[in-house]
Formats: sequence, structure tokens, C-alpha cells
Amino acid sequence: MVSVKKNRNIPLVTVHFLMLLLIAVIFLPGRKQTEDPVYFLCGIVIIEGIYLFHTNRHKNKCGAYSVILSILWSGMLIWEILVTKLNLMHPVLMPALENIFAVFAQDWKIMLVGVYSSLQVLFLGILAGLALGTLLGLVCGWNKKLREVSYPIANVLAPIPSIVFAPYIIAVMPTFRSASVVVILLGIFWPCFLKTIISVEGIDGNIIDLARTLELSNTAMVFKVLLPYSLPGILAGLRVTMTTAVMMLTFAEMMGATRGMGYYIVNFNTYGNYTKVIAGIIVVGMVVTLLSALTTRLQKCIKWKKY
Amino acid sequence: MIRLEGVSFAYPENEKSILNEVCLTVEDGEILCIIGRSGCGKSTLLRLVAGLEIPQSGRIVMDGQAVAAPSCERSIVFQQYSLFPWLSVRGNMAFALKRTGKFDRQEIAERTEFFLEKVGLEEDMDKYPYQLSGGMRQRTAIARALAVDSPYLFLDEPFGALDTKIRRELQILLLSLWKESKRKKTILFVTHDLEEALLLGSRIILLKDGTVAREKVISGEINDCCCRELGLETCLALKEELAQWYQ
Repeated sequence: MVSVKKNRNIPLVTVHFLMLLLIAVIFLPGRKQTEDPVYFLCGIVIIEGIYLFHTNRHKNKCGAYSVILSILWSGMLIWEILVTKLNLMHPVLMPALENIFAVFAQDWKIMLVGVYSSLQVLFLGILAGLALGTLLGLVCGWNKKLREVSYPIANVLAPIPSIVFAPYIIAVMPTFRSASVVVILLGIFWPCFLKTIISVEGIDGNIIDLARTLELSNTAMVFKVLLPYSLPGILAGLRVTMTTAVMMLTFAEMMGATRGMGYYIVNFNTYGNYTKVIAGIIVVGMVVTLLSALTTRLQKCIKWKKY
Repeated sequence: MIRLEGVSFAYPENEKSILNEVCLTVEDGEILCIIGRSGCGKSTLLRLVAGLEIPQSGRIVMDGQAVAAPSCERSIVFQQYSLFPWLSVRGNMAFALKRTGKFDRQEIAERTEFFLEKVGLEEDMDKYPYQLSGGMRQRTAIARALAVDSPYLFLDEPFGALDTKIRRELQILLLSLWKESKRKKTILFVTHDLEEALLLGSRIILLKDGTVAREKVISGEINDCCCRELGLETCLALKEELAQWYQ
């Protein structure tokens, strides 16, 4: 018991030591002029709060969370020293952390609108891609002839990033926004379609026989047997394809969108304002993390699988 | 009554026939145990009778009608995956009962509770198959098969993966439920276990070289302890005789 407690204390001490060291370094005089560090300090407090909340909730993952945060604090410490205190790095490409966190305070409304707009497009694309991929995957997986035709075609088309088809999609769709939705749809559709076919093919024969003895029609077989059976696999695949979807979204918003996080990043990239670019990248990272956590939560809603 | 008239079957990937012109009659209310070496066609015979496969020649007649497809009138219990994993115990029961079209919502609920209580799973109704032991899963499968009240019940080595103690409990359970039912079900039971065949079967057949090679009627009523009254000497002699069949 004593050694377990000791083991838990060492990472905690390390994390807090690094955090305090970072705060101390912030207040040291530096060669680079920066914004007021209050926003940076607020950011540190928020990150620390999230860390304490999660370590308290999941005591068995305390070690992992502590390592992650230690890496973050260490990286910020090195950045702060090299960029702000010693002014050794490229002044445009590597902005001060104080300036980056100040962007969150200045542009929070624009960012919020951008995130909301991006999420609308993302959810539309994901839901449509998931629905089509699952439905067609179930039907093609169940029907042997359809499977033999569609599987090889899907194997060829699936690895091609959907953003490659962007010029054609933009030409066909009425707005850039709808084109973005289609790009995400295609990015989600193919992996979901393939995964569903493989899942249906792999279903145990006894389950199918059991369903047949209950005289289920083809439609009932698809929706009452194959769909619930395939759902855990589909949701597990979604965690991976979610990252791809956000990537596709960011690329899609670079092509003529007027709002969204992808637009925010590419717009300020054009003006060479890397402080805002990095702030935008951090926001995208936070959105992806939240979406990934949401998908994990959805997976745990499936009560019949051991997680 | 089940009648197999010159039934032959081969799987598409095999040139050799698994079953060759099998002729067999199973009377109503009979418990027929099918024994034989691995690969002799026991499970295939069961699948044909259940309507899950179609014979290449001959026909299977059940109550005067040819068997062409699976039906709710023929319940089947497998060794593995006898339950839908995404449904709870209660859900598996209700799903099957609803499919028969014979029962309304209240009857489904009543029959679910009744049969699960019979098999000792009244406390586990809301559990999912992954939370159950092998024995509990097979109990649920048996409860479901009996609850749908189909006249025919086919069991393909349902206790094969279970330990001896649990197997014995389930054998007694099956016999007791069969004995209690108003209309005696016709049961086809595939097994490797000679003792199990002697305990359960009113008739035992041996499948060999794709045909019914041997047949033995087992006399002796099933008593209140759900044991066939054979007597020790008779039982040992029968067991010896069945063992000889395999040679």
C-alpha cells in the first residue's frame, strides 16, 4: 500500500514541480516583448484543473495523465525559455506562448463561431457518411453477389483521400459548404462501408441460423441481427475515421469557405500571422480530443460488450 | 412425425456425400439420440431436418408437409452462440416469442418469467450473454426453445462444452421440462456422450458411412428423478453395446 501511494506521488510531484517552474520562468525578465501573461497563466490553471479532475476521477490512470502533462509542461518550458527569455528562435514562425494564449482572449468569439460552423459541417458529413456506409455495407455484406462486386471496388476507392476529388465535388455541388460536407461524407463512407462488410462476413454462422429458424425476412435480418451485431465495430472504427474527417474538414474549408476553423487557420497563414495559426491549431486539437472522447462514450453505451 | 425418405446431401465444397439415402422415421414425442464419429453427418442431419439445408435428393416430411425452409415450429439449440449477444436474457426470450406470432405482450412477459424461473435464471433476466457462464447460456437457450412451444426441438451437442456436473444438471433439467410439458415434444439430440444418449434417448441411432448403421430402442420410463429406469446391469450392458458400435 505504501509503495502504491509512493508510486502515485512521484508523477504528481513531477507534474506540479514542472508547472511551478514554468510559472516562475514566465515572471523572469526576457529579451522578447510579449502580451500580458495573465491569459497564459489562466490557460495553465485551466489545464491543471482538467488534470486534477481526471486524475481524481480515474485514479488508475494517474500515471499516464501525469506523464502526458509532464511532457506538455516540459515542452512549454523549453518554448518559453528559447522563444521569450532568450529570443533564440525565428520571431515569426515561433511566437511567444503569452501571445498565443492572448489570441484566445481576443478572438474567442470568432473561434467559437468557427468551431460551431465547422462542427455543423462535420456532423452532417459524419452522420451522412455513417448512415450510407452502414446501410450499404449491411446490404452488400448480406448479399453474396453484391459483396463480390462491391468489395473489390471499395478496396480500390477507399485508400484515395476524398480531398483529391475536391475540384469535381466543388464543380458539382451548389455551395462550398455543401462541397465540404460531401468531402467529409466520402472520407467517412468508405472505411465504414468496408468495415461493415467485413463485420457481416465474420458473423458466426450459428447466429445467422438462429435468426433463420425465427423466420426473419431479409430486411429484419439486416436491421435486427446484422446491424446490432456490427455496431460495436462501426463505432470502434469511427474513432479512427473521426481524425480523418477533421483533417478533410480543415482541407475542405481551405477551399473557399468564409468561416470555420480551417478557414481561420488558412486565412491567417496567408497574412503570415503564425500566432493565430498556432492558436487555431490548438483549437482544432481540442475539438478532435473532445470528439474522440464523445465517440468513446458512445462506445460504452453498448452494454452487451465488455469494455 | 418426422420422416426422412432417401435423403442424400453433400456440401458444395466436398465431392463426397455426407449423407447417402438416409431413411428414418421419428415418432411424435420421441427423444431420438444421434451418435457417431466426428464428421459422420450428425449435425448435417440435424440441419437438414431443421430446414437450414436442402437435401440434394430425397425429402424430409414433417406432419405431412415437406420441409423446405427453417421455421418457428422447429427450435434449435447449438453448442455455441445459441443466444443473440446484443440482447439480454429477457430480450432473447422475448425476441423469439414475439417472432412466433402466437403470444401477446402480456403472455410473452409471463412465459419469459415462467421458463426462466424453471431453469433457475429469474435473478439474471437483465444480464447479457457475456455476463453469463456457459451453463447459464445454455439454460437460457433451452428455456427459449421450450417457451416458444414448438413441437420439435433439435439440440446439437448443447452440453458438449460444459463440465460434467453442469452437464448432468442440464440433462436432468431438459428431461424434467420435457416430462412436464403438456404436449410431449419430439426431440432430436446429437451427442458424442454414450451415457448422455442412454440417459436422454428413448431411441438411439448410429450414423456411419452416411447412413443409419445401427438402431436401439431404450426401454424404461423416466422416473420422477428424471432418470431412465434401466437398472445398473442393463445400463452397463447397453453402454458396452453402444461402445461396440464405434468399432
